[in-house]
Amino acid sequence: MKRHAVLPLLGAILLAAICGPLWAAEPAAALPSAAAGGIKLELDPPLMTIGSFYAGKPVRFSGEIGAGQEVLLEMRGPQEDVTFDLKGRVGPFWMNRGLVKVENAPILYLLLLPASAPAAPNLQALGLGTAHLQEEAKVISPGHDPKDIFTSFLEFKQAAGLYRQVPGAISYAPAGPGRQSFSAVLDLPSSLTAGQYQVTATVLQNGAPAGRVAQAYLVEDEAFLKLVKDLAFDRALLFGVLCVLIALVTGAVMGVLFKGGKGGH
Amino acid sequence: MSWYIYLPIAHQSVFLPLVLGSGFVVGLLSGLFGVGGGFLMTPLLIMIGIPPTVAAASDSNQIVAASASGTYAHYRLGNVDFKMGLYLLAGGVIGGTGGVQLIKLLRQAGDADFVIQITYVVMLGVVGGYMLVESLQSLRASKAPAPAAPAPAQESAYSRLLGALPFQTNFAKSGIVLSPVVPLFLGALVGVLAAIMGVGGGFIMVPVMVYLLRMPMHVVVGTSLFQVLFTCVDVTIMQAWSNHTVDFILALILLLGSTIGAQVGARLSSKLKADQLKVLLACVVVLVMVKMLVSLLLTPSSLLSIHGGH
Repeated sequence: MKRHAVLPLLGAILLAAICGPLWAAEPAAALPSAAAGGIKLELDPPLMTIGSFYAGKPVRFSGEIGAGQEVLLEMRGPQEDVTFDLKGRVGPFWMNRGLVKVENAPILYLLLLPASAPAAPNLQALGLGTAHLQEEAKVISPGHDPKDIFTSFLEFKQAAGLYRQVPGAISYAPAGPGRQSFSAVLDLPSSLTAGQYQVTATVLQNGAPAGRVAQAYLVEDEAFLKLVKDLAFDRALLFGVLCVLIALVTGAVMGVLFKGGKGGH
Repeated sequence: MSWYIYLPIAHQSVFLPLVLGSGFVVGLLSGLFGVGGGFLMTPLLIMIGIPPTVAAASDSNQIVAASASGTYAHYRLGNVDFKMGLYLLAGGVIGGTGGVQLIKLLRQAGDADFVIQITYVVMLGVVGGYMLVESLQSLRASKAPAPAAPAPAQESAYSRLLGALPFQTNFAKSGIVLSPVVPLFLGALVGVLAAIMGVGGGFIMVPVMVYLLRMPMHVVVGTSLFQVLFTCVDVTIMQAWSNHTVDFILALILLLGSTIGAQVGARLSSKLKADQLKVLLACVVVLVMVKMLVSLLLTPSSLLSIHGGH
């Protein structure tokens, strides 16, 4: 490709990198809702868009349940299999002592609880909470106790902000005869990835399950980020060459810019 | 306008001024000392929270810009010995290819990550410690009054060996006469280490040029940057192609900071004395070595780390 053809292409990519965020489309206005057994659940925004300046965003849950009932709100991501290096001590040094694998664990798990949250064993019985995830997940850890490995896995996810239980996060208000409204705000982490997430509202009556409503929640990348990901994964060699060319052009441009400065050579 | 920016390959957002500032600091070192900065930038990015594989690959990408900018700046100053650089590069390609195979064998054999880290610590310790002692002695000697009648210097065994090698060639820019076998061999040696450690090798190449090739410091910096540039072009393309770990957005932010830093560094390097430069670089190298050693000795915050990076 001739130089006069390459430079506008590189310029367009640089421009796209800077202006990409401006292309971010606003999500659709309509709010999805789910209603079953007297439970109503709405999410705002109804669709989460990850843009170039995304740094975590709040999602507002709201809805209605029966008076005297409690609601527990769960968001979970698609399941994934992850291989980890497990560190151990050898002499004075901490070094990798083998591989462990955690399968069928959600990429994200967030649970909002009311002030009077059920104890952990009750949550587990309801199929909720990080402790319950261990029942779903499969830990492959030759020579190591899977329970210990899963505890380390939970700590790893919690440190990344991807697994969280928030007690006292739900507030209630009267909403007519025999009804009450609930609301809660969930801060999605900055390390969120695009995909289809599952939101579930579990309603309790005197501590016993009284109903459950689930709906999908879509997280998607804005156009520019999607373009970069598509290039990086589907046209990897071209992407690598473009990265080098852009770096070379930027280096050269900076060199030329500095040439005219005071003390330039 | 947010101060955070989302990285599409690393899948996380980062504080923009922090990444820009990191790029500037590493670019400054690059221009000042002729090192690519990979040995410093990758640990910095990991500390920010970038996955190690993405940090290493994206860092290579930004070094392309910083070293291109730095090489250009030093070329204008007349500080690049292209002839020597090409010999070192040829040796580096041979050594790097061998080093990649060696690391494959190490990974199959067991704990390659530990070998990599301990190689880092030993190399940084030896190189940084020697540079620090030597340059401090040199600084002290320059301040002391000159002896009245210095005894004629005895030619060392190393000098005799260099002189005995075939194909003696004049490297005019460096002002030395040397067999090309020496830069080819040393380039290959650095290439092996660079491949094992996953870096451009500038911080090893600079002391090699100063102490083993006996090139003048001002030519060393520009020539090292020239060599690092080609190494990192290769690494960036290979990482993007094979591992999909080059985060273009991260690299773009880093390179904006680093290219400015490299230019500032190149100007500063011409104002500082060679011994002062060596003391500064030695301090940086020793600090990074201590940080790595401490990370090997202290209990990690998590016993698990995503497999695939080092």
